[in-house]
Amino acid sequence: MNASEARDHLEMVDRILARADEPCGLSPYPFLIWGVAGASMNVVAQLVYIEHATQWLLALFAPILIVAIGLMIWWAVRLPAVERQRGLIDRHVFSVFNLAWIVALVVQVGAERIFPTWAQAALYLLMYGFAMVSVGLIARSRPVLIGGSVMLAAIVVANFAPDYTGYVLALGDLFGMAGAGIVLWLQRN
Amino acid sequence: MDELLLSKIRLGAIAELLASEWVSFAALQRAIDTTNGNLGAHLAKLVEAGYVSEEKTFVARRPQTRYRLTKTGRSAFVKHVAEMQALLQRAK
Repeated sequence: MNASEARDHLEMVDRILARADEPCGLSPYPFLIWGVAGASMNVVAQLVYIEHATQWLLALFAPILIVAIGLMIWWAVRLPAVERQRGLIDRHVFSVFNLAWIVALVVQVGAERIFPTWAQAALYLLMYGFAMVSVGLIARSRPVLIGGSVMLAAIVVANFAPDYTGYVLALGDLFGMAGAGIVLWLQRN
Repeated sequence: MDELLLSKIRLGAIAELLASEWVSFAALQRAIDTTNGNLGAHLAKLVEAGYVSEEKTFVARRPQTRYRLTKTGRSAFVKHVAEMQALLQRAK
């Protein structure tokens, strides 16, 4: 091999690797699923808190989580081949999200006595808000970046609305996470 | 230099696989822009050398062959690229 051929081969490798740096497009479904699930749980908790519903309504948390997990499994099974063939950035994005999900789940299920209801809901928003801002920056996705910021802002707003904490956090889930999912879905279609 | 990676098609295939977990034959063909038979022959050599692993699956009831870079393939690619860069440096 001579220098000219080496240059030609290296340029080709550079082009391929530069192309691989571009994310293949974030899927809107995890955002929609977890945004709606989180908002539903916060609305339920708020209704119980202001005594518009009895405590037993909190039992809805389990079916909401099961439906959300079921939808995630359905989505993963039906995931188109093009999404399975992820690049390096997409792989990193999925890792960040899975990590946020695991931490949020550990806090919600395993640390119930340490974190009271609103603290758990706020931590859920904090974990996903952080993950979304991080993912938005890595994947250069404005809807995800703004969605994550909305989720983080919702925590601050909720702090000043003690009587409506659940509703404010639910709005954060809905506009931040599910909203980002809707924008991604519209962009895709 | 790695004899196997002196071919532009094989080097391109390895670079494509470097950035993804699994890549289907069709996707590789689109990316590299070559014929079925030609790409198949080059991939067979990479599989035989242990640079790439091959898996036959079904996607939406259709058979699909997909490929993944092995550790051996990754090391060979990194070494080969470093050697090409060194060659360019020497030529300057």
